[in-house]
Amino acid sequence: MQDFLAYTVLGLCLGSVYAIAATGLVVTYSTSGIFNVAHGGVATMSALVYWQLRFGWHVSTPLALFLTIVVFAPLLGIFLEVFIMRGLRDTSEVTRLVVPVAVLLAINGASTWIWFRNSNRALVPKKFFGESHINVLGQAVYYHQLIGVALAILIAGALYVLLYRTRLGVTMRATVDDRSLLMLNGGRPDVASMASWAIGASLAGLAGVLLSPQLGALQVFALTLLVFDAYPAAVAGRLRSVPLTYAGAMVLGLSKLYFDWISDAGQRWLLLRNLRNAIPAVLLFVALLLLPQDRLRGSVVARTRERFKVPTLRQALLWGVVLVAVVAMLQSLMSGSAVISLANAISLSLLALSLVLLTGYAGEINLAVFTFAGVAVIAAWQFDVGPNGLATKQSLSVMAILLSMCVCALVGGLIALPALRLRGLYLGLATFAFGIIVYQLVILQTAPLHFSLFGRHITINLFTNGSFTVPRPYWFGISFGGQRAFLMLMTVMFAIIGIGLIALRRSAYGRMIVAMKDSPAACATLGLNIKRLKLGVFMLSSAVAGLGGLMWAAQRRTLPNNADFDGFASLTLFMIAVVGGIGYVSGALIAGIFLSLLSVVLPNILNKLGADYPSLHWLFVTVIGNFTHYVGPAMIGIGLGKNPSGIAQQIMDGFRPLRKAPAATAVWVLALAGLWMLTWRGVVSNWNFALICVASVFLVPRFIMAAFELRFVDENRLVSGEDLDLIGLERPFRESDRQTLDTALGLPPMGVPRAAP
Amino acid sequence: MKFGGAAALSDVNVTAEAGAITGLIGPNGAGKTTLFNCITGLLQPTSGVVFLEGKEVSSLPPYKRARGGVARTFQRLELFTSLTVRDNIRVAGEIRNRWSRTRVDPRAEADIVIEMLGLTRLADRDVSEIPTGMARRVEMGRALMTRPKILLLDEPASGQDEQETEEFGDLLLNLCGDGTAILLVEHDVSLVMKVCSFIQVLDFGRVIASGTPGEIQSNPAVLEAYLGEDNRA
Amino acid sequence: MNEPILELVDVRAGYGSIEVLHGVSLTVHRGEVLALLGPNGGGKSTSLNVLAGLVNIMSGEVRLTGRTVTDVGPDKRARLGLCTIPEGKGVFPNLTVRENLMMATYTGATLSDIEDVAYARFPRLGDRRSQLAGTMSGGEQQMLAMSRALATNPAVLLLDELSMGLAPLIVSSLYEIVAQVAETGVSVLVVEQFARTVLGIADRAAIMLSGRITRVGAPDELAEELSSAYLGGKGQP
Repeated sequence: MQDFLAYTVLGLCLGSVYAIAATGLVVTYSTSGIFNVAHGGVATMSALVYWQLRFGWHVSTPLALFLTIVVFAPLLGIFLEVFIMRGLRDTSEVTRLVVPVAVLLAINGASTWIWFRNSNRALVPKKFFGESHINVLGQAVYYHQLIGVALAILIAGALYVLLYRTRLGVTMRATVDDRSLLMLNGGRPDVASMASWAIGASLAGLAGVLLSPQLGALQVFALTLLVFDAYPAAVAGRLRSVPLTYAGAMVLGLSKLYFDWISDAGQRWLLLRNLRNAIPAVLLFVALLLLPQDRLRGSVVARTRERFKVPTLRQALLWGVVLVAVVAMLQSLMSGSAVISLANAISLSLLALSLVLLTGYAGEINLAVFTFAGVAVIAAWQFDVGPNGLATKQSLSVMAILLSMCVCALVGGLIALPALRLRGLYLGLATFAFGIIVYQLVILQTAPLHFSLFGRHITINLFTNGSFTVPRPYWFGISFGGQRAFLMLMTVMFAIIGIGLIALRRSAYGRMIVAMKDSPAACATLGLNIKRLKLGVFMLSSAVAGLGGLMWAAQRRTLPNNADFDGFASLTLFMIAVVGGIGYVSGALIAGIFLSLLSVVLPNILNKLGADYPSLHWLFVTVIGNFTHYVGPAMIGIGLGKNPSGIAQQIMDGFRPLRKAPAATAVWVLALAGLWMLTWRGVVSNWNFALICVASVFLVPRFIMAAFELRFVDENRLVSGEDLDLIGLERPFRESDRQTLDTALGLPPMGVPRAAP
Repeated sequence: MKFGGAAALSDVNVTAEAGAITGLIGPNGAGKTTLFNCITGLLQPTSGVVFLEGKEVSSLPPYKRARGGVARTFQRLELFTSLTVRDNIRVAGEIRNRWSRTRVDPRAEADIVIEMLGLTRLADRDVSEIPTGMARRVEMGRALMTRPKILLLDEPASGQDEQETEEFGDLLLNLCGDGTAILLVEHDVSLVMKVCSFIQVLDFGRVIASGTPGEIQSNPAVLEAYLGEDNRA
Repeated sequence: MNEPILELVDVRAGYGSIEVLHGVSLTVHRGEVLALLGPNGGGKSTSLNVLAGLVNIMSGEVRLTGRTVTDVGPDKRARLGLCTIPEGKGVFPNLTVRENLMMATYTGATLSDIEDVAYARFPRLGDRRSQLAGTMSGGEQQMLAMSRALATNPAVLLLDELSMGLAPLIVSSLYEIVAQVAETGVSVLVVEQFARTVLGIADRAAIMLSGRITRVGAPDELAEELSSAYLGGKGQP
């Protein structure tokens, strides 16, 4: 009993800090509708700033705290609001999740660059008042923890006073209620938003400083994950209610400490020793189950800025063949290491394909793609390789792939179930929580599981010994063990699945999932069971993720259990896929190439340049290299707010002139093919070939445009009535123009038979 | 079809009969859209019941009511903005194929509906590019694809010009000739007067008058509700 | 006639790609009550939103006391003396009565002054100052919305469908207040579906159909045309 009370006290201490962190999320979400995933990043950077001030530069504790919590963190919050988040109005739920993810990665990248760039030095955080503590029922309660409790109470009171007693606070609430009415009153919602982001960031910073002593030494991603633990509390408060958030935070804190108590600090059940880290994720699932059903949503905004065109099946087939041909030609020129980079890119693209289906077509979110890869690998391993290890098996069999796809589909269905009633954001959070649970309880498990089922002894190998070795396929008498052969296999697979996805999108099923994304309410009134369709899409995309995951694992050959399973890799892939153009199969390809480029190829090139030109080393390596390495991908993600349809769309727009000039295009393609022949023969060097290719991609469309005097009018603008006066001036007036004018002017159709049923 | 009582409504009883157009008019905020949401199941009424062909459907989710034959359009457009006009209508038929025992060819059916609604010229455009009046016809076409027993139209004529509204009225009369019940909420009173066989006037969430178009036009209470009481005295 | 205080000059505006106003010109003169009438979907509310600054215009000009305010935001216009009460949602439902009045202080008036005026004119609001506005009756909500107009001493008052969803008795008492406000020299633009209610207090009236002003004149002249504009088939068999 005494222990119980003591652990209760400690649980409440921890809960207080979670409450502070989660309240910050609630404050920003309720005024902006943005679930600020970057909260953890702000907390982390603030903790590092505090460390720098207090222990790096020996500023006194109160001053360091003041500078961190009252100056630095709020300024960072205001910066984020003004320059990034404000631009997210009228964008889809996906964009509003991706941009904060990008911000998180950017902030963490910047933190890593500033504090951990040169050495893995240990920044040791200290508690306030060191180890001073009081004894409560035999347990040491540190002053530091008591300060956390006091601050949580203080913040609750201060927030109440702010929100209910001051004009600024009332304005913040008024912004939530009715933004335009506030403006009609003369109030400035933007100021209120800035204030809420400043407060949210300040609370994040405080939580970061308070949580950091839990780590022996400060580490960027570990600290971010600590702050992530508080997110379920905010979800319990439906991202809006501060009191419920506090309650959720206390439940979180108590659960962790009670687990410590009954499990003897994790010593009792070895299999579950990581459960403590997964408790917040488990509670998130519980919170999702308890949340009341969302009202069936209509279209959120009249017109989101994201637009995706669907290629025809013929185009898809053509591009599929082109892709395979181009990769085949390129790899014949490439050195071994370059082929590996390209193969890595294609394997990541395969993984990203599942997101095209799920996010691009159906508008739902999966933040744990790599976890499905892990699940697929474990499933395939049980089936294919078994306890005797790789020695007995030299091929990844088709059966194993199919089996693991089924397993992924089932697992995906199970995760999606609690979130089906809720908006997409919650499904995203559920998948993220699932990723953490699997990581902590399954992937970090290095001992095999033994149990009996119906009298049969069963052994399941998880990441036994910390890694898996995944064989590559040996099909139709061909070994795909070699890198070049496997690259081609993956490319063909990508083309086939990509064509399959486009065929799916053009089928009745595809139209239904797009319709569901656009307006669930309208779908329901047409008789569509939305929950079932959503479940089906999620299962299908999980299966695709499983397939891509197996290929990704086979590409790596040896898959250690610390490879990309901790959640951040999935976030990055999701972000890059959206940036690439989530509505397009080519977007997935771009995403894979991008990730591979940024993580391996570009640093290599820059290092080589730095070595070749020592006087410019600072530019290539220190500035460009570091920037692209730490914050590059994130900066691209942040840019998404400006162009939500992604890179694939921009590229396609760039090539539009080619369609109008088929002869010139054919000449260009033939010229490139000829150049490839010359390079292959060794007449032209690889570098020159690459240079000419890249340059021509940029220049030829422009040249064609200039040569044929093509002009492209944005079709959407015509209907707005703005450019109507110009019709017929630049080129002869046509029948289609008359129709455009009729449409814009709302004139009745001409030459079309009257409605006669 | 009966209906009674909701938050913005009190003790409303509305009945729509097969093969007839029932008009539902009343000033803004009288609770007409709320009524539609209750009938289709997008909102749960605090009390009261909805009957479809004599069977109570009050506890059914929206999609089951739709399968029972209720279809609607939305005052605030709910089009599938990623799809073309044709695909908006076609997908409704494809959804129907998932639940209906009788299968249709959605593409052919959609072409018929598009022709009928005078949307042929716009069929391959994105729905976000067409004028509101035409967009309302797309919603109506979508609803028709489910072959509803009752069709709820929420201000279908707003955004259509005079001539289009005229055609639209003829279209509605043809439809109900096939036995469909139509419940029409509309501000264009001349359209309502022209096509409805029975009109109910809603005000402050209750029915203040009902009758044939002729009766409604000569009912002083209606004029009052619509134009407000005479304040010039 | 007095000088113009608020003007729309050949304004085209709409939502997204759909144009709603096709070249609207409208002038409110100092000290007058102008009623903007017409059936739904004609563009009345859009015109009012353009005046208030909530809808950006595609072409044309908006002027306040002769100066162009086309690019001035709605909050700035409000602080310049434009008091807009939007259709059916003139109050913040999740704020209390007192907090609602607090939001009116952005126009420069102090909270205590606003409260004094509001509670003196509407004692019922005084009794409910800490009740959430959204839980009050529709009439009380409109009283609260009107308090802002009464207490902040605006130059121009824009009212959108004041009568929406309210009983006729309450509507006429609200319009009495509008008349009183107008007598203090405030210019008023009333957008209204219930034509007769407002014709009694209006100095001039304009009818708007399909995004165009079709008629401007004295209320008496327009009264005759109105029933046909609304009920269309009135008088036909």
